[in-house]
Amino acid sequence: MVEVELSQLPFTLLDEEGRDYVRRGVDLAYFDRDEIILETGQAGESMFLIHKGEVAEIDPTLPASSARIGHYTAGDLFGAISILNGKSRYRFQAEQESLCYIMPKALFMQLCRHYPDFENFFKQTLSHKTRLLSEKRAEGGVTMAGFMLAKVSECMREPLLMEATADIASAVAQLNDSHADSLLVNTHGKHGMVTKTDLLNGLVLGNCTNATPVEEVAHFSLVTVTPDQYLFEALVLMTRHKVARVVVVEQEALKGVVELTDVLSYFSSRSYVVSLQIEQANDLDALATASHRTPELVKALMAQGVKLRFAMDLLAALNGRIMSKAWSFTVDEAHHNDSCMMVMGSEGRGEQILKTDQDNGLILADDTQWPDVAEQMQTLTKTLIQLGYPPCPGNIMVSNPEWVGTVSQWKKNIVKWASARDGDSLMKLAILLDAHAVGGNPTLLESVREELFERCSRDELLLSYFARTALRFSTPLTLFGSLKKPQHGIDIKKGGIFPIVHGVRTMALERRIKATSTLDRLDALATDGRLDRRFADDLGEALALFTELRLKQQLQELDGASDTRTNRVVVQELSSLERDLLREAMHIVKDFKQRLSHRYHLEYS
Amino acid sequence: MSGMRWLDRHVSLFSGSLRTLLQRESDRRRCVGSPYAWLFQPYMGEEQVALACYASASEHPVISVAAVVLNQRHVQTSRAWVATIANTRSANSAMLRRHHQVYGTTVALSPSAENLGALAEFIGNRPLIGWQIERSLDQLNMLFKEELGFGLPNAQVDVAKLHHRQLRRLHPQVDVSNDLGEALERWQLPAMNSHGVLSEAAASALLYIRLQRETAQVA
Repeated sequence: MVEVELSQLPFTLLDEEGRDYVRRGVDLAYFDRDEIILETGQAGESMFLIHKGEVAEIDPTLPASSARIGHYTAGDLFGAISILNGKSRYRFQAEQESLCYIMPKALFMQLCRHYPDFENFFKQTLSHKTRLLSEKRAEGGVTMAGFMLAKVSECMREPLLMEATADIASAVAQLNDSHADSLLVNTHGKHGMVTKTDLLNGLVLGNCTNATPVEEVAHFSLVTVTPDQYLFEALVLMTRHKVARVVVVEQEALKGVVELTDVLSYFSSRSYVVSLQIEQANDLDALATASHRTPELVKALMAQGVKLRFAMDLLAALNGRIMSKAWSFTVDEAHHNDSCMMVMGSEGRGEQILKTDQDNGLILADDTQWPDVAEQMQTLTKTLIQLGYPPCPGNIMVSNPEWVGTVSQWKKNIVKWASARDGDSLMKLAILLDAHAVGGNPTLLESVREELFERCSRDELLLSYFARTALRFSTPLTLFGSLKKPQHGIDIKKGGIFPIVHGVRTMALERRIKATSTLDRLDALATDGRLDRRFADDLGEALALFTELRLKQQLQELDGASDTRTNRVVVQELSSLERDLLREAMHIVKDFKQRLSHRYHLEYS
Repeated sequence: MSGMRWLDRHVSLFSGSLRTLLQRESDRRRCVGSPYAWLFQPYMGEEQVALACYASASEHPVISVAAVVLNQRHVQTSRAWVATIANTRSANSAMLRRHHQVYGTTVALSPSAENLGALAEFIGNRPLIGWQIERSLDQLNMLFKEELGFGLPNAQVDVAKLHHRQLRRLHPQVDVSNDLGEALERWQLPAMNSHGVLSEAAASALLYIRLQRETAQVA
């Protein structure tokens, strides 16, 4: 009866002798349904290996709906962390009749002493779990990325307005009443700022009395922002002008005041300063330094359990800023209005978290005079490489004359590609569809995109050809709907990310949706009625999960300092919770593929 | 009060036939002065011992035994008593090897008073449970009588009978077999992968725990 299944992790980390110890050292235990196996705070005396049945991990401090934080089935281990911690942090409860092998604490500790790998396995899952938990927490509360993406409007105070003719005494009384330390005065249609320091200086050093009107001490050169600007821009402005507060103005109307202390309370962690550095960079070197720090920011965000969607938004915003700065450093200001630099591919969709290769192109206005465009574009590409964006292996870069053209050249290209419908043309169309303007005049890109929609969105035959690519890679599910588990891992990009991205792209083309990010496209498609809201949300969640798994993999590889990036996720190394999620997500992909082949008639192609 | 205590003291004696009852009582009287006297005391604890035996009948019997302690929840397989009892000098060595292989034992012990005493000490006065326990105890008790002068006096629970009774309660018309594997399947317990004695002891222990809970639910 002691035929313990020892052919999986962590027992594969033991040698034959160690496994023999396990075989001889385990007991059997039988738990009824709903029986509590390990109570919160109970000392961890043994490790459990489930032979049959299901066990739930429950945090009793949480409300019942979210209390269930883990789920274990046959073959899973639990209780080891309770041994390492001394006591159990959560309650383990049998959800069905369960049969467990029990490894006593003494044997477990002995194995840990003799086999460091075995011990590390549990130490890892411990940190892994804490991260999972922090992610859960972050979902509920305000995320740190939310802080970074905070707009001025979220952090401003109500302005304290006074008549300019009011005297200093009443101003002080007003300040005390409303617990503020600055107020605004209005004279002749202009706003002036009076701070406590101004009052103090006026009374002590100047020759003011209590009855002097406040406008005498007010400053009328104000630093203003709009409510839609990012909060960190306000901080940059304060730093630049050496002031402690800025006034929020929208269409000439006074909206509020942002104080330095309020902003600083938002930025408490070092890594968020990256965006400030980018904003402040005045030359290429400073920009490169800031740009090379973005992986650090990604790690910090992931460690804090920021939801991936926010992290992606933030990184897309930052990458956009870096590109745009690089553009303005290298390209003459005179050309800014009649040219447009666009980023394409994952960057264009705003889904590039770590810097992968650069995919970009240039659109010129039809009547532009720019003889040395090729040279400048070479410099731009080199600059971007210097900033940490590796060159594109497919040579989709502004340095390639093929990806530089006037608006009418681009339109001609689109017509050519749309009628050719071969693999290369379809790929180019797909790349162009994701284009997003980062520098210069974005209306040029708009007109090209209009032409693209005009040519393609009604061409059923083209759409069918276009959509077919989404089915190119099979979903890694077995006949019975469980995950395939090849030794070298499943390719999450081919199996999960690509079908969603490309399918959604096709639908966006059909419905003429201008958004380029897949999640935004899904939103738009749901609003449009092309997809039902629930399915669109599911697809978004699935995509977020895939991206997250891939990002984890890539971050690991970043640590390992290896140059090759893989998209492979080894299912066996995932926790059972993640495995469940992955399987669900793959089923959503499968469903989506079926819908695609139904809509675009791909059944027999 | 004293009547109750008397009943408690002798409750284990009321199982089995009149012959075994009398035999056991006379054994008890005979062993009063011996170190084994405590084995005849009634057991007041919560544990049982699951026992599985395979005997090859020959001139010199070879018996593989596994004994596992269990309580209401745990089966202490890590502290099981597993051995093949055989006279290593006279017994057929091929038969001994076969026992090691088939029944998954690693130790061979000669049927001396010392070794059998150790087994009796391990079991103590705890009730014995097992699949068709009477049959498997027959051979073992013969050895005990030869060497120590008494058969195992413990109360016995036959899991097979428990299983049959429980099954008939659920399906009055059912045909019951005497196969442990089938019983395990019937109660959704994991099947035995080998025919080792320890496997069988642990399986019957699990089945016993499972059936006890079933009875508690019905009651």
